[in-house]
Amino acid sequence: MKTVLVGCGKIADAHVQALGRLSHLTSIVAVCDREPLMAEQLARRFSIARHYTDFQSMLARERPDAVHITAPPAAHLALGRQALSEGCHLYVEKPLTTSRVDDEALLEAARASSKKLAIGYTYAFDPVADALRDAVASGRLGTVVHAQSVYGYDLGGDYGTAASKDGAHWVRHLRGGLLRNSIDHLLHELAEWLPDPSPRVMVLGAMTPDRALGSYDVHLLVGGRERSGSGMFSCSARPALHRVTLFGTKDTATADFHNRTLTLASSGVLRSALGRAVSPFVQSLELARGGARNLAKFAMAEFGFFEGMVNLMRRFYEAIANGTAPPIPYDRIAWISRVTETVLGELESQGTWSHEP
Amino acid sequence: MKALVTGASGFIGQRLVRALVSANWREVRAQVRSETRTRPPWLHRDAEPVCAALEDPRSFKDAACGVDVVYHLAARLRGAPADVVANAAVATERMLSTLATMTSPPRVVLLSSFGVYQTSTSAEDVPLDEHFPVETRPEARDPYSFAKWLQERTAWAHAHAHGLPLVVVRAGSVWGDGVHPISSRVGFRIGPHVLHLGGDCAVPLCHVSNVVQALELVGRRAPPGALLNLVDDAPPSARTLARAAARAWSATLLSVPPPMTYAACRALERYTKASHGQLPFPLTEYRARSLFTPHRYDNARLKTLGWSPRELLATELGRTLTP
Repeated sequence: MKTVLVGCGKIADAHVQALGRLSHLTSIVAVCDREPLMAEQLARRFSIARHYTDFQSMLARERPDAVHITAPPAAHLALGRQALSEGCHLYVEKPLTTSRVDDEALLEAARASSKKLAIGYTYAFDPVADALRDAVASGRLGTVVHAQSVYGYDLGGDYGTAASKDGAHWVRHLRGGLLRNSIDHLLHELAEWLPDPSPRVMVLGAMTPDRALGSYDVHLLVGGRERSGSGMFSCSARPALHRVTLFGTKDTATADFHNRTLTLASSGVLRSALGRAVSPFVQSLELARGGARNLAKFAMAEFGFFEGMVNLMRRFYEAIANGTAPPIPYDRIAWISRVTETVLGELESQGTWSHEP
Repeated sequence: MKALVTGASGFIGQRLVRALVSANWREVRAQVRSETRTRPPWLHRDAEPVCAALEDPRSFKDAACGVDVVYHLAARLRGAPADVVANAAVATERMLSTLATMTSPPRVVLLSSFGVYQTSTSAEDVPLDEHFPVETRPEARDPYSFAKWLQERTAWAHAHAHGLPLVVVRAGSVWGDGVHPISSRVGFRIGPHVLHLGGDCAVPLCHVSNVVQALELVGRRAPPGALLNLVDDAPPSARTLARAAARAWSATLLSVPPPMTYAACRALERYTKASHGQLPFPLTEYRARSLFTPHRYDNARLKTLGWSPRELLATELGRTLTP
């Protein structure tokens, strides 16, 4: 298969590196950016054969099987439709587009074209997310009754710095700013465990100092018929944690995405004074086992930062090759789009934020 | 003479603004990115802050209107490669496109870097002057050098295409006034150790006071199309600097000869490749060779403009190394 990429900013590096690990499935043949220097720099650094400034020309000349869209979200819908109309499968960076209406339009275009679409919900394919799924599937948690997702954002990190220092950064033009650009990860971790297609959503938000950037602290409660969920997105809490906890009728499991460990609460809940004294050691042992597993993965070179992205892309290209369903169900993407719109609407109605493009 | 300084809030920019005011330039405008209610505390009282973005034609044209010289210093040193390129090369391209639309565009003095030279091969017998070859594998260098290479190429292309009066000044490692000269050309500080990697090769230092003196002269005297190396006389060796740093920081000096460094870099590169970048190691063999291959630096052309760099190493080195 032949792949091309459009949008040669920072995240494009991760895509090209991840694709480099999937050379048995596909190879990247060209990149494109409206800014010729950006296209050139990416092509030169990763020895990519050709680079373009015109997307249509790239599609016409390269005839790719798949297109990765890593341009700013405002361009996703137009680029996505163009690629689908040329018969390409689509891998789109999150957020899918800039509004629910456009999200639905792109999903509809993908359905109508019978080409596959994947969106960069990479954490859902992180090894620790798989471990959490295994724990649920094994029945150790019993029935899941509540899902809690915590997503901390470090404004001092590479991505945060780029957005906060650049007054003209595209993230500032998104409805919801930085929150809009990151909430997909938090919501996907809830969406997977909340089957209700139209849940009730309660939102409480507080704006952190950079109002124009949209750096929020937001708390969510998502109520479904069978289960409930809650989430916290925070730009101010430190360290910037990233965890999902599933509360089950038998046990509770926490997946820590930063440390890539899965811990079960039952190992720390023992009766009697002696039991309480021993519990921390039992939990330590569990963490040590998780650490040892991570070390083994490190030794096998399976512990990179974007491991989830590699796994997602692998499943995306395997789905294309085998004609199976795309790795992320479109219904789930639509669920996230609906809840995102509710969250932003709530924040606007609370006066926490207003859209001032 | 009137000047606009981009990157005026940076290490060199702040000092250049002061130097231009002291040299009685009639008007000195300091470009800042965002509107601030209060005057930036670092700004000389006789300089004027102007809010402009290099990428925004309207605001930048207003900022540059009527000036004789635009000193272009704005560039990001660190960060993701795409950001460094966008910040240095793309922003420069936009800025020069704006200037090209002016009926009488000002002279542009672009501060570039020794990083654009191809220094990975040994050429001690050939002086590293303005005729020295430029990098043929810029993408293999660090992101800053790559971005500077793209920036310079873009600037020359604009100069030739639109007749822009361009002067390029390629500087070595700028230090002084609180910034010590222990750069990656010397080695690294690791806990209680100074890891000296640069062997005995000369380090092309330029003290910031010499830099701003040179830039002021270049703005007044350099002809359009000039290319000038900016490096102090008698550059010290990496070993001299590493020893001074170890003494000042009460650290242990660990010297690794360049051939061993290259071998270690080769091994780490192999690991990085085999592990699919799991543990990226920034110092590749090519980058190490570019940094640690000995060269003889030449600044004769800049001196023809009347530049006379002061010898400040003996007096300033200890002060900048003191924690």
